[in-house]
Amino acid sequence: MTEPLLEVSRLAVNYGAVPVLWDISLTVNRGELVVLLGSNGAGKTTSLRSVQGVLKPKSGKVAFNSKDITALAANKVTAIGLSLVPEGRGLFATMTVEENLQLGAFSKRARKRFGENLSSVYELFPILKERKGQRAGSLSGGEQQMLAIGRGLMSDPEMLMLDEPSLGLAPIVVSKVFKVLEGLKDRGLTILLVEQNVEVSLAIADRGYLLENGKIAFEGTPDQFRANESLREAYLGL
Amino acid sequence: MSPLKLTGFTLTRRRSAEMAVILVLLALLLVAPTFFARISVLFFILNWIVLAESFNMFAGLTGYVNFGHVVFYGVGGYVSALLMVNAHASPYVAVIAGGLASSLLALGISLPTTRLRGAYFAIATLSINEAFFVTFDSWDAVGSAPGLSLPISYYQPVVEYYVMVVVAIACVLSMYAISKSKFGIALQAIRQQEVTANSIGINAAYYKSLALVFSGFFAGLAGALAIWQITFIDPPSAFNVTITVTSISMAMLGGLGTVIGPVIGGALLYELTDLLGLSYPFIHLIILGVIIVGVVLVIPDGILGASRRVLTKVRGRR
Repeated sequence: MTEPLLEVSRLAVNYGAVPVLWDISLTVNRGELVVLLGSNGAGKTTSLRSVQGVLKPKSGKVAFNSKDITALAANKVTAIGLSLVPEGRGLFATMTVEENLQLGAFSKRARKRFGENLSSVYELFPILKERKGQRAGSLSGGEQQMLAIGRGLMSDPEMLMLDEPSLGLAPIVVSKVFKVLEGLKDRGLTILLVEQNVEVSLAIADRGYLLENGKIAFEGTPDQFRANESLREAYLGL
Repeated sequence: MSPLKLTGFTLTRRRSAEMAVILVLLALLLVAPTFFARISVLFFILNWIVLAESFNMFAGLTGYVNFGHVVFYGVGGYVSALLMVNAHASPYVAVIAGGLASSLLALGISLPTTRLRGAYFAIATLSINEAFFVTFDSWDAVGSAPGLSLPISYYQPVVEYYVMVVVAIACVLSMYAISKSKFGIALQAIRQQEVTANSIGINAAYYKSLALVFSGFFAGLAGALAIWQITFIDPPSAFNVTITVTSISMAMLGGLGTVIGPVIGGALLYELTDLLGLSYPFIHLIILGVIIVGVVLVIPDGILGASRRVLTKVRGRR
């Protein structure tokens, strides 16, 4: 079962006159967990934002479920089953936990299965159920990340994209969050994970891409990443 | 059942007390002309309340400060004045046409400007105001600099007053309905995290436009009603930045983003500037500045927000 769900081909993005991404091609197959690695400023967030339609690419194509979504507006991408958990979580801080989850189900598609999705999010993150009346801004960093993931799941996605979910979290919390991602993958959710935390991501990923200065510099399985001598020195610190 | 129902509005004791005060005030407004000689004062209090509340409808909910708010007021006034002067239209038709014209204008203005963020939005709307002033000031078909005067037969203070009461109630109720609806929740999300709101499926541009259309409609009605009462309009009075700044101050003083805040702020500040303006002309402009700075520094959530905070604290201590 290697049916491609997300196909990005030859994507190029400029910020004004400055090219940031040159030639990004990557594929995420249905049911896979793929990680996009790279250091600060490599273009990871830019890639996600252009896939999601927040940024307009200069050239190239993004297809989801064999449908061209390159020109689709960000708010419509969620409605077709591709959801983004943004960098820094982007929670609605003064709203309650439950209100944040409700907003995650804003699109028509998601409202149909609202009750079902809400109970499965609460099952996945019991702490969110305990704190459902609490303001999102008052949660701890780990809980906020769980809420951001939960809100992403409320849109009833076929595929979830996560932008650096480990950012600012203690190592023990990071492993908790990544365990959840692994569990979501086992349930059949397709995941594209953008990360700087190389080791933890490779541990749960099926495949990975390395982004360097706006280009895909390497792609392969976690074993291939670990076996590559120069990558090990530059990124893995092994 | 839509799952989008935010918590918050429950009829607690405080809420029912607020409701009682509101009902008494409404009853007083309705019978005021029978015992109060200067109903034009009440008329203008309500007119300012509509201006402040309509400003709040966009700025309070989306977080964008519209420095061209008075454009809706001016265009509403001009459209209704032109209809009455040139076409001898019924004043009711003229007032409604003024509101509709301004909401249409709001839609037009929103298309380019809602792509702008923060200060850029404020600057763009301020320049739109200047553009309207210059255009109307030199456009002969709308009376250019000398302005337009209504035929005296249009002047019916008591009727005008009651129409103003209806419009003010409609405006406050609309704000209430919007802030409790899915539309209001979307605006709240946009205000807090616009990029995220978009990426979870909220069409931010659409909702912002819609909010500006509502804001423009009521400000247009306010302008049309003001012209009916004053019977005269010219560019400096119709496109006066001070009107925008006053609306902002009123909304902020009462509580930006709340339903009742602009009502409180509008009534208080109008009375204050009216009293001061009589004995010390122009000093009210300084007062406005002091109020804006003071509110931002001391009570950023306005009188209403601050008093609710204090009440909660007092309750918590008991």
